Amino acid sequence: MQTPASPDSPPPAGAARNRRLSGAAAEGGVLLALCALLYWLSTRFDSVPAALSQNVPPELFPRLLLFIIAGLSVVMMWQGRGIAAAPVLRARRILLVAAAAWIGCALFAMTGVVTLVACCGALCALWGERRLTILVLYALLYPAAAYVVFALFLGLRFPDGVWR
Amino acid sequence: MALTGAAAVWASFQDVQFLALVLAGTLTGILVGALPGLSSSMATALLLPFTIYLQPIEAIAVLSALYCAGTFGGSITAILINAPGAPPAAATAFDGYPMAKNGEAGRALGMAAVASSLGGIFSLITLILAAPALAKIAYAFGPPEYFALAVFGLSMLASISGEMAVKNLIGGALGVLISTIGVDLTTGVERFTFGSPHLYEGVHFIPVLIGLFAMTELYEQAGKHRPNYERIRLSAMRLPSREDFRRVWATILRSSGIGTFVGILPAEGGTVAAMIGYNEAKRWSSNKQNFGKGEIEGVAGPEAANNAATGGAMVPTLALGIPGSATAAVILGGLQMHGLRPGPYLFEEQPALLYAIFAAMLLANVTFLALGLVGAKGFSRVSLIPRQFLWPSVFVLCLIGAYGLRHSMADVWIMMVAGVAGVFLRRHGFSPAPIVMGLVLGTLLENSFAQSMIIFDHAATGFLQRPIALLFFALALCGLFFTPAVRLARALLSASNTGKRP
Repeated sequence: MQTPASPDSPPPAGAARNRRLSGAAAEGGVLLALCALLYWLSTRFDSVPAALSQNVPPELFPRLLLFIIAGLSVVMMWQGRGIAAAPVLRARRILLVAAAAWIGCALFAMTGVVTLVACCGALCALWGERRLTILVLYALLYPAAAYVVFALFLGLRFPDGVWR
Repeated sequence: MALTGAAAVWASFQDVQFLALVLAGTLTGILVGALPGLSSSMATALLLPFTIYLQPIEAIAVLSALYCAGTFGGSITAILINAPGAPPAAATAFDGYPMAKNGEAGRALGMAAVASSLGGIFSLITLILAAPALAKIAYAFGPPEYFALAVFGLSMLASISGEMAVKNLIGGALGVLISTIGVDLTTGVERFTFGSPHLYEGVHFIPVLIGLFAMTELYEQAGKHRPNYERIRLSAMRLPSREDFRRVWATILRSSGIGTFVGILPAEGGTVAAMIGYNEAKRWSSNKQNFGKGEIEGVAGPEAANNAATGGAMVPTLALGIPGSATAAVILGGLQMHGLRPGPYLFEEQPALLYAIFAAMLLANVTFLALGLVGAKGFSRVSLIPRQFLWPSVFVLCLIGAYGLRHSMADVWIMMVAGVAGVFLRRHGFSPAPIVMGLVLGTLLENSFAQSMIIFDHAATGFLQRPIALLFFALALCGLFFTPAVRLARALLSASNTGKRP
């Protein structure tokens, strides 16, 4: 009779092996699927007469690369049989920082340099700064310095967005 | 010719703005190198879009100085807190940190500065001598030879890391594939643009570089807890004694040669050079047993090698347009961004630029020695910069850098996508450097391939009639299959030995 494994006990050898196989296969599988998708997209390129393309049609080189990547992916899958799968991304702070960065970029197009203040404040807080005065000072002074250097000295035009 | 070159270098030293920029590049390089998490590749990628405001000569000089100094900067934190500021300094920590723990931090840092400087100057002399000679050979190159050379350059990605060879090659091919996005210049056909006019001109490599190097690192750092480093007190850095020099001169010379050679090989960089430099220092040392416990040769070996690799890496970059390392790929991108074409014509048409690069690298090597000796204590404190201020600041620079290049939000989104892709790729063992190499070489590879096919009337067998191209293809095959062949031979030998045992 088998006893249920405790959460801390190592997984059975067979299960570990399967997980390894699936990890290596997944990476190669994603690459092969990507190659297939891009190959399909390359079939939808506009066709041009051979005289214009000088016998080097526009899809030739990308397809050559796709075949190489597909071939290498198969080799990688074969080689990676014993290699454990990469750990799944679970860090909460990575997701929060990524979300803040993406939102910051979206707002950057709309509110320009003002977004930098919000970005600095939000990211600084996400990184663990809890002293409000320091956080506010940093969020105001660093973007202001960036604005002086890049906009006033170097002549960079930040997006006008809603301020237009 | 040599006198003209020397005069041009001297003239560069008398240009105050040039001197100030090179000094700023050196200082930034040391600071960035000393900060764990920031590397010279990342710093040059971040700085690249802002160099558009400089003259091409000044821009490339700043990037070159940063490259040299960044490699040295990593040794400071490697020795004092056992956290290499940059990957090439990882081998320095093996003996540098034990020396610091034994109360010899100043001696270890002094040796690191001197060995780095000597290694850098050695490779610079090689660069000055070898690059023009190599460029002259490149006059004989046509499209087939350039195609074969680019293939050889990418094939060397397989030898950066034996375990990850296939993944590096896939990364390189993915980089080349990204470079095919946009309108095909020969036919005017859109490729992988998804109808977006922002992609008609292709994906500019700078947002991808910033995304892969800087944004990826930012996300990775967000997931890390602040490490508690054991900080060794440093009273003062001191120059190596005569006895130290007597012990290490051969190691420095050997490692400088190794580093320069490894740097010249396309795609190989300072990290590989430092590891080989350390191993060779240990192999030839009469104090093998002290390695890992605080042996001065264990500091001199990797430091001379990793800095020698910087000058070496610039040889194929300038002479052939094939980057010798990830940072050299960024500098190559800088040359392209400023409308300069690396290769033999650069030596003919832009000699002033080359002399400025030589001057900047020479100045950087001398300056970081002086700055390192005087300010190591201060530089080691940059690792105390709170992460909650460092990484948001990096993000703002990424955002401005990607946007400022063409005043385009599309470039910002490309950077963001590259950053997220970089995290997943890194988690699955794909390094960003091969992708960058592929991206930078992509246009050369495709154009030379298309031109070759037109020359050969669409018969790929035409490559077989070009001896130089054949040589590069043969070297590429060696690069691809040498390590697996050696492994197979070892396995067979081991199996036969086991079989013979009674």
